[in-house]
Amino acid sequence: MNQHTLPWKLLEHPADIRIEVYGTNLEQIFLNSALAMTSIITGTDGNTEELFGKNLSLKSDSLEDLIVDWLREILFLFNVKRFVFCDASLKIDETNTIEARLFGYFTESSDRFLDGVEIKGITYHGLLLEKTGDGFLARIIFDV
Amino acid sequence: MPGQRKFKLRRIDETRWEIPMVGGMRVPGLIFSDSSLLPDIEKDNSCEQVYNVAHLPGIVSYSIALPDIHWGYGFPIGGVAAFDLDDGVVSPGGVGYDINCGVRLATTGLTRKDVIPRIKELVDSLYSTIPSGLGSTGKIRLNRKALSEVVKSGAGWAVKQGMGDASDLEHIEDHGSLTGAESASISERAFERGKDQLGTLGSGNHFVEIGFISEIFESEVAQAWGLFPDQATLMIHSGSRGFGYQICDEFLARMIKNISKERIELPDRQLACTKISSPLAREYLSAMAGAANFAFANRQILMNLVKETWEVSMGLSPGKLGLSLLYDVSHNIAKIEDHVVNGKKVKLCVHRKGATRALPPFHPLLPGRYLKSGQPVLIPGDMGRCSFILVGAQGAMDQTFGSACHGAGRVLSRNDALQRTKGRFIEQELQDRNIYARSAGRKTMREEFPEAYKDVVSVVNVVQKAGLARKVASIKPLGVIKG
Repeated sequence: MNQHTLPWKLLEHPADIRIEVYGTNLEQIFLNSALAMTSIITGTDGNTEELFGKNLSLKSDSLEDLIVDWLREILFLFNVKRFVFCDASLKIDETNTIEARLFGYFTESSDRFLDGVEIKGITYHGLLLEKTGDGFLARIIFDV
Repeated sequence: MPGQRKFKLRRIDETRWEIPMVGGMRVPGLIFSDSSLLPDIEKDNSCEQVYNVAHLPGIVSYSIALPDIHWGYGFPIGGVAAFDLDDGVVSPGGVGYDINCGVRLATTGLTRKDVIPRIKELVDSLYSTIPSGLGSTGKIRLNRKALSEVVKSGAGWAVKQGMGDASDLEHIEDHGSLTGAESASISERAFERGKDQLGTLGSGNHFVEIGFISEIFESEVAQAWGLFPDQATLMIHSGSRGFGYQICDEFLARMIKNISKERIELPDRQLACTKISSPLAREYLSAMAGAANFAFANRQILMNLVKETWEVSMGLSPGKLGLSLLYDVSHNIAKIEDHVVNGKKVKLCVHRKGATRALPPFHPLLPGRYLKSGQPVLIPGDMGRCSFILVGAQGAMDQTFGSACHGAGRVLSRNDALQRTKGRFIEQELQDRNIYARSAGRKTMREEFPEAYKDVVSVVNVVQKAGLARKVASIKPLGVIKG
């Protein structure tokens, strides 16, 4: 994945937002997917805020379902708790369970995200999570 | 895309193409388009999505696509699919995340000459009054009990609070309230996500538009509906906000988990569905009705906000604006409806995702005002060109389960739109065309610039030629607020 300056990129889609994400291992692809989504909804990269921690534990039927469930939780935290995801330490095991400590900041107002795009949901359409020669690759479509 | 397809499109006539049944398709696909629009449709995966939907259990007659079709997720946007109540399925993806995203149009007693000199003040006032953009919150903060009343009563709840007139309800699809909505079917998370979003526009392609009637095509119908040339109009496009998104999201996840139990084979997981006869389907339809009612209430509240702001902005005494709701239609919905299939009257679950109900004259669901003419069908275009008011025709009942298109349909991705408008100042370009536009999102204007959409004139012409609905009037924009 060294050839990519960002660990994700936008792919063409006429109505929604489709991304391709790269990671050297599973944990990294989950982390990078969450960072990509946050970058889209906030229109920003990075922050200077004080970070707070939050625990998150999820179990799904498959790894593909797990990445959707993971992003769904982070989106819910953003929309309802105004928690902006910035980083995470996480572990994924062979039972498709994720144990994570999320780090992010709380924001009172969404006015600061003037370049952000509202994501309505994380879709299963064209969903891909696969092992590649040098790591993992994911493709995800967000309904916007 | 054509090269990799498992099917071939077959031209039926100048407005209809068929995807003949192949493989696991249970019905053929039917695409309404013409030779000018078809190349854009063929560029992406929307035809594949029509083909995929045709695989679903209990689908009746055709998997249908209207001329504004574009690539969605699972079901195409601009798609209609009807399912048998015994063997068929209901699919949250066939409705979409923004449940009952829709459009309402109101007429006024003013003309464009009255509005043009004040359009900047009016749009600026609307922009500061109407919460819009990403995650915007409204002034209406309801507790759980009051939200449950919104879920049950829809637009009627807003009217009861003094936001609008009781007669408005007659001019909303299903009188602004779907039956069967139960709070018990809706999660705490949905209530939490929607609790401060009533009376908000949302972002992206949602808008409030002040326009005027630029052309009348059927004067008899226009007159019966109170439309006249140069008449100032109001159009609102919004939906059920986070409340609906959350409901779709949760039921989609539950149905995905359930697919293997129901032994339903799907060509795309986003088509996740459940038998209409199952308890999960009943629960979804009840929650979906609740979100639809939230959206009806939302548009009613937004219209009232615009009315108050417009009157103050132009110094009009109450009532002088003469705001009168023409109609409010849903674009994203699943409903149990009566239709005639092979000469027999049947009840079907009709999914419209990016499609508008279009009832012909004398349909029993029409209110008295539209019984003779047929239902007003509202087709927003883009913010620089025009929109249309159509009237439903019998051809829609015969071919599309009483449906017509819902808009122009995107032709450029958001990314493409941003690339093509680099260095351009869309607000100024619109002002040069006498349209004053503002948006909450900094990128919205460029993502939503007019050429990102198909020309709505071509789309509507196909609908008219195919006999689904007829043109009554067109509207040109004067001022726009985008989310």
